[in-house]
Amino acid sequence: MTATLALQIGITGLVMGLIYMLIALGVTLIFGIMRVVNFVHGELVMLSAFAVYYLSAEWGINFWLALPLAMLVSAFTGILCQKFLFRPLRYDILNCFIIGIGASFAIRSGSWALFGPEPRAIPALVPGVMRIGGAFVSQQRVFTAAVCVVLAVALFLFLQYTRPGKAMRAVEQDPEAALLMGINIENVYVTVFVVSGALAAVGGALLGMLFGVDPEMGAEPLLKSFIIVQIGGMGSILGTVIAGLFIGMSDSITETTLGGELAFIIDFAILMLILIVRPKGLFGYDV
Amino acid sequence: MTSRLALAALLAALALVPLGISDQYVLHIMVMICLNVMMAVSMWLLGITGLISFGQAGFMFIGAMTTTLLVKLGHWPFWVSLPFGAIAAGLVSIPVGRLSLRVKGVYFFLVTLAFGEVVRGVFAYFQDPFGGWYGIRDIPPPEPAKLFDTLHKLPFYYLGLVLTLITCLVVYRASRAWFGMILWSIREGDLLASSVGVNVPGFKLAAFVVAAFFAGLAGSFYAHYFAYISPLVFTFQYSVSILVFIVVGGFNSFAGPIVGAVVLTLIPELFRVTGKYQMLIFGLILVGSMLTMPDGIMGAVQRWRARRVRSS
Repeated sequence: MTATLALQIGITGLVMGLIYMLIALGVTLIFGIMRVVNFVHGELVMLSAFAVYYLSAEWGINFWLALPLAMLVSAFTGILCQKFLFRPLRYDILNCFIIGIGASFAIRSGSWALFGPEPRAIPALVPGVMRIGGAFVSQQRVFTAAVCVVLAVALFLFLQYTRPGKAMRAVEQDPEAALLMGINIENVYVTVFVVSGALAAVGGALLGMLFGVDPEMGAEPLLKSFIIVQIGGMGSILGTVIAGLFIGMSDSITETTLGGELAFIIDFAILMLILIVRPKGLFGYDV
Repeated sequence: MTSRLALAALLAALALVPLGISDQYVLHIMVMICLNVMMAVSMWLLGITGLISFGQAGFMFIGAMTTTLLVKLGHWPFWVSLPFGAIAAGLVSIPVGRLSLRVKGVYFFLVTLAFGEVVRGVFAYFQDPFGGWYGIRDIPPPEPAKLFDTLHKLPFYYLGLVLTLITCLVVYRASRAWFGMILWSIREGDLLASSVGVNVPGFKLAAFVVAAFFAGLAGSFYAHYFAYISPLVFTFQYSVSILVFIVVGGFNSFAGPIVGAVVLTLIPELFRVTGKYQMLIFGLILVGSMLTMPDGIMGAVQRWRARRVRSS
């Protein structure tokens, strides 16, 4: 019985951790490369979830067609933010933080006015339940976990082996040296926002299938990804993956044993402790 | 000399004009402006060093909770418990500051953010005596009860005005004296300041404690004015909006946070008639003001003045 419970907690934590990781990867990419804390990321998650909902559930377009369209919407919004919000402020960290908050307020309340408060749901892609060694898991969750793992690996390969990925890492290490080597930094920034927006879109679609779609849905994943990115170390991909899984597990354990209200407090307490012991996060570097 | 006269005129107006206002709604907005100015000015003092504390709402909550518990459970008189709220916030801020000031930059933003959320979470989790998510109702108004009637906001306004003026005076004097000069030098460079013999961690901590103290004072006043406190009020969003007041007003001068708090408290009220679009408009104004005035309103005013002097 207890072994089953532990397994159940473990699987739930794994799936949640993977989704948070996916969303946090977008935040950490932008921070690592541009030194911008992107507050709009949560709204990208929300907007693309709505895009998937309207395209697939309302207008009957196939999910696999709707998802790329939602990724386009999200990436396009990201590029708009980069061009019209962050670039005019010259990527100053504090001003970008604040303008991001303003934009996020505007987008969120705009969506309240546009979409209305009632929650909707994207129909699950793979309905049904399966048993993994005594624990019951909905197949949707297994699917979600698989998608997250595939995307994280794809992101790693992209950064490691492709030309745009290498350009991103070059800009991250030293923007001026990258510029001297003939890398167009503005183009790299646009690519970063496209990749990050696409990740947010997939995260939004997956969250929407598990927990429904509403205008506030971006807020919690955003706060969680800030915690995760901090614990892992700002800008570190490996750190984000590990911290995402860690936070997912810790949430799952606290929610089952102590109640959901405490999960957030414990996350923040863990964050405070880790930052006090290791101010840069687990795998981070100085800002 | 003219600026002295202008200040005296402004103070006289602040003291006398409300006497002619009978609309309670307008007075309520003025009390809200007092609260926001107190929070913005105290956050600004720490902001001079380049550190932004997103835990200000947490300290405000500690102040509000302390005075509430003292008055409701301990039956202390209001005038004694009011400063105790501020002192409690100041005391809590000492260990918190010592720990969180070890990190810098964005990391400090997020540690203090985490602190604010932990405070909120703890108060929300323990029903007894903190009231849980429901908060605490029926906090008695200040004595004498005959004067501080919840339906008549004028005495509250004067109380708020006095507290705000005290806060502004202390912070202004501090920022102009040697203490403030040291804080500005820390902003220019930690290392440089410490190389000329400034005790950088000590001064940062002092600024952090003063900021927390006044946030606690604002919280105490808040609790007795609204007679109700709950974890839904002292959120991270509130800390953020105080930062927004400062940035929109302008970081580089003392008038910045005050102007920002006044303007941005008024704007959502002006757009209240637009109903569900209120926050949308607020967000757009924030974005627009950042794009057009990166140094805030006061920065734009200074540039405009400089240009006028040059052209004349």
